[in-house]
Amino acid sequence: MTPLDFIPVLITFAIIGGFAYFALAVTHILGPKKYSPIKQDTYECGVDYVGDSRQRFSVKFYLVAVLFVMFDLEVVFMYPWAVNFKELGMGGFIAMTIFLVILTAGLLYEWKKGALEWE
Amino acid sequence: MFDVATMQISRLLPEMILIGVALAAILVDVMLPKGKSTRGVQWTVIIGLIVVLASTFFNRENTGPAFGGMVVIDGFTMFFRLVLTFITLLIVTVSETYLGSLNIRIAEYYLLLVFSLFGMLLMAMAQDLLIVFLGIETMSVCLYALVGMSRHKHASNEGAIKYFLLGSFTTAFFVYGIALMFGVVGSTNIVDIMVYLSGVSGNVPMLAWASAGLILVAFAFKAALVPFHWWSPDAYEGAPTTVTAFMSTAPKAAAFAAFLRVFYVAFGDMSETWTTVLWVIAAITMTFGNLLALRQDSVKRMLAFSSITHAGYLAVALLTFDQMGAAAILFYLMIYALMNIGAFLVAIAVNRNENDEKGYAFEDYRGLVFRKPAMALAMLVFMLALAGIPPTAGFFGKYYIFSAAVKSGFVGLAVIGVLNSAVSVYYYLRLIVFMFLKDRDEASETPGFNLSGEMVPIVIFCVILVLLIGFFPDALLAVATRSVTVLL
Repeated sequence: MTPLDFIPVLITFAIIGGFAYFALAVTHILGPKKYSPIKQDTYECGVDYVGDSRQRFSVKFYLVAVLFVMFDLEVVFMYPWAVNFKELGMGGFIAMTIFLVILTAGLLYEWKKGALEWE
Repeated sequence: MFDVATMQISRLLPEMILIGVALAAILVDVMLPKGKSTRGVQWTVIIGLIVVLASTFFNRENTGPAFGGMVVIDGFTMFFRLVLTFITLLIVTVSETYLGSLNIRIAEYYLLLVFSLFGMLLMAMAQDLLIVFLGIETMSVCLYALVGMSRHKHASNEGAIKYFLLGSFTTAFFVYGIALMFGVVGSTNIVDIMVYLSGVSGNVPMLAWASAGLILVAFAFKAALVPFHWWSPDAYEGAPTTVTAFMSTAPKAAAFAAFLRVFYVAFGDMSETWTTVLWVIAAITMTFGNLLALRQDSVKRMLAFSSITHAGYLAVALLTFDQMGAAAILFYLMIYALMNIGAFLVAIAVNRNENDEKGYAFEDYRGLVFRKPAMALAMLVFMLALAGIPPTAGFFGKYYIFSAAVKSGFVGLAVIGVLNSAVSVYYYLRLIVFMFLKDRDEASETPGFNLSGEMVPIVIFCVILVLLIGFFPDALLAVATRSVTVLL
């Protein structure tokens, strides 16, 4: 690999950057400009926003999000195992059992600590 | 194909037991009533760690790579397994009463210690940069939380957030280093990297240099070497003192374990350059740590800066790039753990009010020798050991490091090191002088000047070992020398 081999990459970068600026410039020059309160809003369509983004909200949301990610990943891990169940045989079964035991201990922990209760 | 037999899982028996201990401790925690003492969890962890130590000992012949060369269990791994588990055991044993005095009754404290121990064990056995990364992260995430354990103290939160922000920033350096190395070698395995770099002998590609530099930064951060040390004084001071004792010993040992394996084995062929870089880092680390330690009025902060200085001494041994230097590192890490944990424990006992901003003052030690002679005597031993004065083990630790440096031709650095250790005597002796000063108003003496029950045996144990290794350093040095033969 010599530096010269990377010239196609540079050309790609130039085209990407050029197109971005070109598209911005063209919409700026040719596009119609109509100002109204709705157009000036952060989101033109969808639900109206409430307050600004610096509002504080309960840490419980984070907790739910973290727990969701954890158990979601667990399922992601189990699918390939289930598909290859026969090939993986006993070793795979034992490995998955260990994994689930560890996970269940975690579930028990969060349950007893009250992480699953909203109030 | 998935085959359990080829993974050599039995070589990781101690680690599996450790995970079992963590799970058992979690279950004990949820079964015990809320808000009460966490003794149950503590005892579970203590017994579990003793089982881990025993299993390491009885499984010591079962060496070799495991998980397809991702990790390797050899003498080096064994040494750090014992040292790291041992340090954690000491800390877990002394924590309960101290945490009670801080009103921290959180069983997660013990769980985080166990999980971070697991991360450190991964670092010690890693033979793949990705496993090193996994270990560093497992260890660090637990430490971030441990530093912030005193949730209602400003300093604790401040230390935790600083440590967390800078730590995650360094993680990026490390990952970038791994990515570049993978780009060059096509593998993240340490042995593969070594084979590749010795194959291109002398003509190392630029990207490999960049990668080694980034990885060096990450390790220097974890070992708190100047100029990557800025997090450490605040994190050490803010953290509960038992956590500080833990952080200044075990993670440092783990960082040097991974440092040694990666730089000696993988980057061995680039040694001429990285020893030069480390030369500068070691020189400024020793000097900087010392100069700031001189100015401290808080014993805890003084010990924090002195821990930076000691990391500098270890860096001196690291850059010798020979067996003697590596053995000196292992030797020093062991005795440093003993004397530092001992010093922190006495500091805990002397400190009158944990919630006072001006806690851990040198003034508190005034006349200690007349009031609590045994405790003062213990502190005397630890301070002399930290200063490197015979007949304590600290002397031999420094002696081995500097003689290794001289033997490898780093005479200039050895001179800087010896001068620095002469400077450090000033602030260690300052504490001793305070202990021997007459009390100004003996009537004002407050109670609560005692080591709590479980700390007494640990402090005595540390004193005895520091003295014993001071008189008979050969046994430990022989073990350390045997352990590092796999590196070079």
